[in-house]
Amino acid sequence: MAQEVQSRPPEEVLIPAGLKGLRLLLWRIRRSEELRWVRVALLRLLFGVVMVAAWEGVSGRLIDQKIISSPGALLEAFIDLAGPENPDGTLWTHFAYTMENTFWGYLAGALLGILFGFMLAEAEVIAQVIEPFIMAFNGVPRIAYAPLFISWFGIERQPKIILVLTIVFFLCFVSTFSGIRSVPQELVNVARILGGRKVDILRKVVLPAASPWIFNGLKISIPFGMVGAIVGEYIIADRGLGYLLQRYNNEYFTTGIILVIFILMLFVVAVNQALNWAEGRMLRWRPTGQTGQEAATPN
Amino acid sequence: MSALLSIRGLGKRFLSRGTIVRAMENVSLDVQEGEFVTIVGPSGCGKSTLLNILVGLYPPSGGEIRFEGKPIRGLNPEIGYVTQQDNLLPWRTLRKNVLLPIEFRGGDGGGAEERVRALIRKVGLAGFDNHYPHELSGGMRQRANIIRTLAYNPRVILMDEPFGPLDAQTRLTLQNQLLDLWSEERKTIIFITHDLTEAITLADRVVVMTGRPGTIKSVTPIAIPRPRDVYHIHHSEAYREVYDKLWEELRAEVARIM
Ligand SMILES: Nc1ncnc2c1ncn2[C@@H]1O[C@H](COP(=O)(O)OP(=O)(O)O)[C@@H](O)[C@H]1O
Ligand SMILES: [Mg+2]
Repeated sequence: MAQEVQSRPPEEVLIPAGLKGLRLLLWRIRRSEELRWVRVALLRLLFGVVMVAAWEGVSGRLIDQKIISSPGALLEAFIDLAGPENPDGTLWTHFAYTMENTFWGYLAGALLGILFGFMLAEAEVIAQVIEPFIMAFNGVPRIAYAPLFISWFGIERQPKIILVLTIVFFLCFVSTFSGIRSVPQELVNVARILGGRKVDILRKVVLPAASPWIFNGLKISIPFGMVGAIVGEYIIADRGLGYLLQRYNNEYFTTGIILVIFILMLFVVAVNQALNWAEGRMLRWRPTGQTGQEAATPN
Repeated sequence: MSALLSIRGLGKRFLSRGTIVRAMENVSLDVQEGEFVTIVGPSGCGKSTLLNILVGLYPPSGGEIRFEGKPIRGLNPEIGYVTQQDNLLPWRTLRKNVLLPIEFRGGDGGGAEERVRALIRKVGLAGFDNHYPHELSGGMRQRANIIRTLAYNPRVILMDEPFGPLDAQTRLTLQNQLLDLWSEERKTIIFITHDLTEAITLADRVVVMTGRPGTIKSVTPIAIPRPRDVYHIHHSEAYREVYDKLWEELRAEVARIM
């Protein structure tokens, strides 16, 4: 039997060492559908490196370093500020302060929001009565309430936590409420006919059906909740990332501002990744191609 | 012998956009235990409304229903309902969906699990126990829907065009399986369909309803002997005779509302 001409390397061939092997590997990454993620990851890395290099190149030459800082300066500032012998606390103490406030406000806001969402979704008349009041309160940008919270709750943690709480509460409340309202009546009817009592139906039908919406509310609450904590610190505080932003701003310390922004970015990206993963596991029953994000958008 | 299910003078009016819609009027029917009754009629004549009232989703505007001679109001645990949409819970696997009514009833340990497994096998779904509804075909989902109701053993099962959205081939298979299940389990079934052949194939009696407001036009016993062959029943002389008679009645009603 004649040897078939190989127009492309067979998949099972091991990659030889040396330059030839490297070329073969690159060739495969460019073509193979399975290695698509490697391609994307490499291109992403390349994109990031090019951006950083361009930034470094432009800074101090085309644009004043005081305005746009530079990756090198950023790294230096990071090593300095993250270091232990910083007079008013290291970056980490500020980071921890902001995150703690965010965490407590988020926890309380999410629990209350989901609870109220459930209760009001079941109480038709009350929901109709208080809806305009809720919408009015929620319609005002939360920063407008900040001075009020400060005069009520002081300048320590409490007003920051409460600012986070009010933001997270409404996001979770609205998504839970509309999630429960969107549960198909036919599913509830079928469950009743199959012998479900009210609690059973709530647990086994309503809650799972509304869970993508609730999850979505929990997800979007994270960055918005952080905004609350930071805005609160920005107005008055002696600690926290918001305080740092405000201080660096007064000192025209651009590098410091950008450093804080980067820390926030990294944190939000990491939390989002974790949540997407958790959501993917919890909502495994959804048809593929329907990610939580798209499917869960309440409106 | 008194009927298992006795329907007397049942009627339903809906208030829709300020006008009163008379969906169904003066429907009376006795259904015996173990009987298979099918209902055909022009669309919008209140067939689904009738089943919704029988199962107790909402009350009639007039008339009454008796189960074993006692008037019933509201949901009756002895009456199961297979809807046209399969209404499986998308976050539960096939097996967990079928187990749902058993969980609702507090379960009964191993017996129910075994029964569910047997039902899944009987309708050819073995091996798909752990699939989610979106991973199943329409025919498989509808089979799951049916055995979910069989799982908790209600004495009466109402079915609203359960094979409506399926292709012709799948329909015949499911009709065949339904007849098998019915002859084994001896349920009382009230089955709505828009397919006259299906109505005749399955039924002890075929009920023809008039156009809206729907009322009963005729009740025809089907004398074709059982077990019936769903694939070849249309060859038989008895089938053709009754088909022609029922089709004349139905056509008059469809023509009247067009
Ligand atoms: N909940 C409802 N509100 C108002 N009108 C309804 C309602 N349910 C059914 N109807 C009306 O009652 C009539 C009978 O409906 P239905 O029982 O679904 O008919 P069929 O199942 O025979 O096609 C239709 O005209 C329909 O529009
Ligand atoms: Mg109908």
